[in-house]
Amino acid sequence: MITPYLWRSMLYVPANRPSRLQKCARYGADALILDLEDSVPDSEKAESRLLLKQALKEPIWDSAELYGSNGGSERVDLFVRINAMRTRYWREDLEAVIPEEIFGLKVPKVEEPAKVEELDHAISRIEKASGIEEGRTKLLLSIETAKGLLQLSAICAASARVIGVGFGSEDFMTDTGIDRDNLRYARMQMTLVVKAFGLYAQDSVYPAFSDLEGLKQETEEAKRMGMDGKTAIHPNQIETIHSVFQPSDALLEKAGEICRMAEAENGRVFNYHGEMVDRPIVERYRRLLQRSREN
Amino acid sequence: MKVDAAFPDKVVRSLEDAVERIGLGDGMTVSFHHHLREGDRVLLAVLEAVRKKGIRSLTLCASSLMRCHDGLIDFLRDGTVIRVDSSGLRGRLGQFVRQGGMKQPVILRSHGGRARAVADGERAIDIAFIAASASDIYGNANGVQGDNAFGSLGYGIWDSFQAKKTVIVTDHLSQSLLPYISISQSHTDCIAVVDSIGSRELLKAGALAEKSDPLSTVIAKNVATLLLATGIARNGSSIQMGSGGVSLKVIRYLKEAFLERGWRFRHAVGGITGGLLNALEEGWIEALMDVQSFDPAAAVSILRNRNHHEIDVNTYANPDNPSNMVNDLDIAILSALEIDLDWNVNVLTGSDGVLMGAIGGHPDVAEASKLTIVVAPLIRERIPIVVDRVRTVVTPGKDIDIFVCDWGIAVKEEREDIRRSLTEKGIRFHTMKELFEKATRLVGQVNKEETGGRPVAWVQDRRGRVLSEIYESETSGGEHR
Repeated sequence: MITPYLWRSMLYVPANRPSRLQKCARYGADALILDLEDSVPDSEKAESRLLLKQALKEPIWDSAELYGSNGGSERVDLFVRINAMRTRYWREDLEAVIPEEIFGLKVPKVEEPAKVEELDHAISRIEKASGIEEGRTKLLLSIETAKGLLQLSAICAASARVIGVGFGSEDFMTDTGIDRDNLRYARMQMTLVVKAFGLYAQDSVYPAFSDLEGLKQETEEAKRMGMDGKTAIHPNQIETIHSVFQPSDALLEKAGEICRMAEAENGRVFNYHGEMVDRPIVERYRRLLQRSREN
Repeated sequence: MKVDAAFPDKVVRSLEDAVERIGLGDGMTVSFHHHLREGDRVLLAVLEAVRKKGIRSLTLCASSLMRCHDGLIDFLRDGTVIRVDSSGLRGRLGQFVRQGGMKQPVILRSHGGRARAVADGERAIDIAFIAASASDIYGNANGVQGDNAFGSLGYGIWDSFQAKKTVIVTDHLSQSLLPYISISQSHTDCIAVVDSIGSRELLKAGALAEKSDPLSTVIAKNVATLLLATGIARNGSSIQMGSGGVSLKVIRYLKEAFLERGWRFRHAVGGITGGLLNALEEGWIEALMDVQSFDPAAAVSILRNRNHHEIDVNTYANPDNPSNMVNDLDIAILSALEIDLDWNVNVLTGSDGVLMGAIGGHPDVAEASKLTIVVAPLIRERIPIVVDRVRTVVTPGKDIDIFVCDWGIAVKEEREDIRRSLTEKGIRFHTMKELFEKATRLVGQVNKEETGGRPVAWVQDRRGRVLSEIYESETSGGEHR
């Protein structure tokens, strides 16, 4: 099953670094994960939340994507990594960022479906209070423990907001004692479950950011496993990730069909085999086709 | 060091002897090159010798001045030097000039403009002091041998043709004829042997090194996409890349595409970087036309590779020379400190007016090239690069076709051919106004102080007309970059 989401790369950006927030949309990542979790020390959580909320209001999020129509560019897809639900920070994180109409949340250390349901309700309440269309804020869940991996089917089914699942290798290694060379089984298992739900499967960061050859090998492995994209911890990793995640023939065929249908529908929202397709989605597929032609 | 000579009168053991021997006197014009960039130790040493002789009121015609020349301030204060021509001013020297330290405005010219000025008599050179990393006892000299080999002697060669007298200043005197000759013994009147002409290790300083800044990677990728997708870069094109961090990264992107397609640039012109040396060796650039080397490895390349040509600055960019190489350029990639709504470019002063750069070949290349691309981030350290009006026009907007930044590409309306090509390829482009508005929304615009008052520097265009004036200001604006 092909996920409708086409992010080859998502770049982590610490929310406590204003200069990086200012620049990060232009690095060419397909989406950004603005991080309130691991890259922000406890002593800076409150300040960083405020900083991020303010930054989300600024006109700094236009995509640097060259391919597209004239007359402006689209906002890059923004995720915020909130603090884990076992901490005391996550509710305040939601209150700060949901009203800013981000694309979604990256949720770390997910282990139980009930927690996903709880999160869903909390988001709905804020969306309603903020006058935002309910269900707009999507969830990209991160599996970082053995328990989370074993519960993944139920977790995926816990909310209609869930659009994908990512693997968090560093915490997974800490939780399980498995070393990096032996994570394949867990990554593969995660991907199988995620694909069964038709969701987006995302690989973990490759922490040695100056080792582009190692990054390439790990990204190629992720692609062979069926994953759709990979997170980046440094802008210099983006190009390597993109070079590996070239779109499949099946995806290009789908993109072609959607673009042809969009032309016939002349701007109207339409149904593609059960998927509602609107303008931003069409634009994404159009870019995908243009990029692939150039490549 | 053994000092001997086929023509004994030519060789002297000190700069003071050279000054004496050559007949330097009050009010004369002396010239220097800046091939050693931040490693140059010749200019100040010569002026020290001049001062010891009690000579005053010189005009200094330098191809450029770097931070290592801050010591020039002392010679300006005591009247040893009263006029300065250069391509650029930086550091404390720039501050000194801007704060009104000189009575006579500095004349700032492009490299091509200087080549013209020294040839047509606008700035006739009496004595050219030319640092050479090697000279033989006959007076043949080059920049490619010796411990401080720096590469091309492109500015020095032309000065040796134009000056009434030429002094070669070297720390490597060969008893036998040099195997490679940049400046002929026929143009050399005196050879001054010194302990050291400077340090080749600082050759890369002053030009921008390849940046690790990811935004420069984004800009470089945008440039490469533009050049390749539109077919502007193709087999047989000629190119000048510049020495900035973005240009160095563009080389890497073009390499991949050119090697894959079996394409070659017919030549690259101008300042030669390590990336271009590699491209020559890899075979995707057929020839280098080197007026100035930005990498010490160029010295070896000039000696060994018959397709690496040392050219003088007249051949590079003199507008009065119809055979100059910039006239044959298909593509030029240039940098900017500011660019405005009329596409005028400033590469000389910061938004606060501080002298912090050099004109280099910017206006020469921009005017002559068939396509001129300016690259810069939209914003640099919270300062907008796209502005309503640049503080100092160095290159007129009429000579610029495309601006590429980290937010995308702006194409001038007149370049309908490129706009059409980009549209066909599905690549979006902006107007300069859109980028200006974007920059303004992000960081606002800088309030520029009112200009006026006494000019401290004149920026000439290639043909000697004053294009901009830089005015006296008490504020130094601090040190930049």
